[in-house]
Amino acid sequence: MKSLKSVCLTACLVVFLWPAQSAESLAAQDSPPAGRAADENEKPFRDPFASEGQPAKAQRKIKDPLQPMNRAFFHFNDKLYFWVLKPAGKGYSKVLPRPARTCVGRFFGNVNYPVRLVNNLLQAKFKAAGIETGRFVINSTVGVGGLFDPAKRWQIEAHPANFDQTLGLYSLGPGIYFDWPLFGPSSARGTAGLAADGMLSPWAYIGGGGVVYGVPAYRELNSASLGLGEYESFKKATLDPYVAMRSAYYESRAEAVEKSRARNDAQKVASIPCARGGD
Amino acid sequence: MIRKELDQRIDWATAARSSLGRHWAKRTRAEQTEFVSLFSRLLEETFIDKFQTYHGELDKFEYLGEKILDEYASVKAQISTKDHIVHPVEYRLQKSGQDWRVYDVLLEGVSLVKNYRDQFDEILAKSSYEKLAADLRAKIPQASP
Repeated sequence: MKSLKSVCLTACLVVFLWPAQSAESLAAQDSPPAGRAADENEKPFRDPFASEGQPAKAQRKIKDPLQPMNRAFFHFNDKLYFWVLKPAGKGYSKVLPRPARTCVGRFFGNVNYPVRLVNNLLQAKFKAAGIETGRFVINSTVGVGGLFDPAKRWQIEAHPANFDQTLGLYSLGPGIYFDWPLFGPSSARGTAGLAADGMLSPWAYIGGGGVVYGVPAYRELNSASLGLGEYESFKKATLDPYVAMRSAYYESRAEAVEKSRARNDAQKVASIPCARGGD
Repeated sequence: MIRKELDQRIDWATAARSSLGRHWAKRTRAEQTEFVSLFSRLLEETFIDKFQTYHGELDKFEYLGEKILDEYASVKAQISTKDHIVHPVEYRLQKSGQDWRVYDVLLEGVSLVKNYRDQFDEILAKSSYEKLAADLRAKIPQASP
């Protein structure tokens, strides 16, 4: 049993580290780094790829003037997870098996279509908006209201977009850090985005107070149940989970903006008409 | 056994040095050596922990492309899990001798080394290197003396 596990883990290791092999000579021996001057190892390391794709602004330190408040909220969210979300998630997981919960997750993903559509249009991604519409129609009909994702199987990929990303694309910096109770990490821009996107969410318009709060709460419970254990694992791996979360949040949002920008540039290039030759 | 594999493929010295950023140069040679060892053991534990959790869920690994700058390389790929979620991943490697070894992994654009660098930065700004080293030692489960 133990050896089977080792084989699986090694196979996984190979899968994870395969690209490292594709870029290296197969006859490589593990030799210690040769020829590097001793004093070079004294200098701070500079990653040549670090500034790629991200404007110099993004490299600047995250402004977190509200840190004491944010840390308090972080602590609150931590307790909320262990005392409420996790036990609720565990109980809920026992009632509903994982595949069903994944379906529920997809349903909510499908329902967020208006948010993605409007933001893709605002970001001038007409093709992406068109694709989103196609996915929504396919998934809502053939995919039974979004429970399944045939659009994905048919290779029509989703173009996630939210207002935070839209604002970022129009060069609004993220602003200071907020770690909201319940909602978790955000920036000044992200929080404004959340409010704007909230207005596009169908739940804001259906039914009364019960639906407006109850449905998103259910969505979060479902999502949490699919990820139980991740937060614990995250805490185990970090020395300062508050900083780790803040840093990861900013980097992932900057990446989302960059991806959006790259898609826009590609779209612009693609739409340049070819020079007409002599008729 | 996994540790051996990881040691062959991962450039712990560069990753650790990168994670200390501008604080690296201020440490003594002995401190630097110890730091590399502590950092590598912390990450090894995390890596192994994650494999044990996720290895059953991996479905597809798709190589997307690579970029080489002198003795540095960036390899981009996509990992799909069984519930059809796709995770973009980027490996950054440095050439040492004949070998290419990984010095950073980015998941969904978030750099692992940078994440630790931000944590260490905060700790060093508020206290001292000794505290950072002590915190690292405390984190490693079977820290042998």
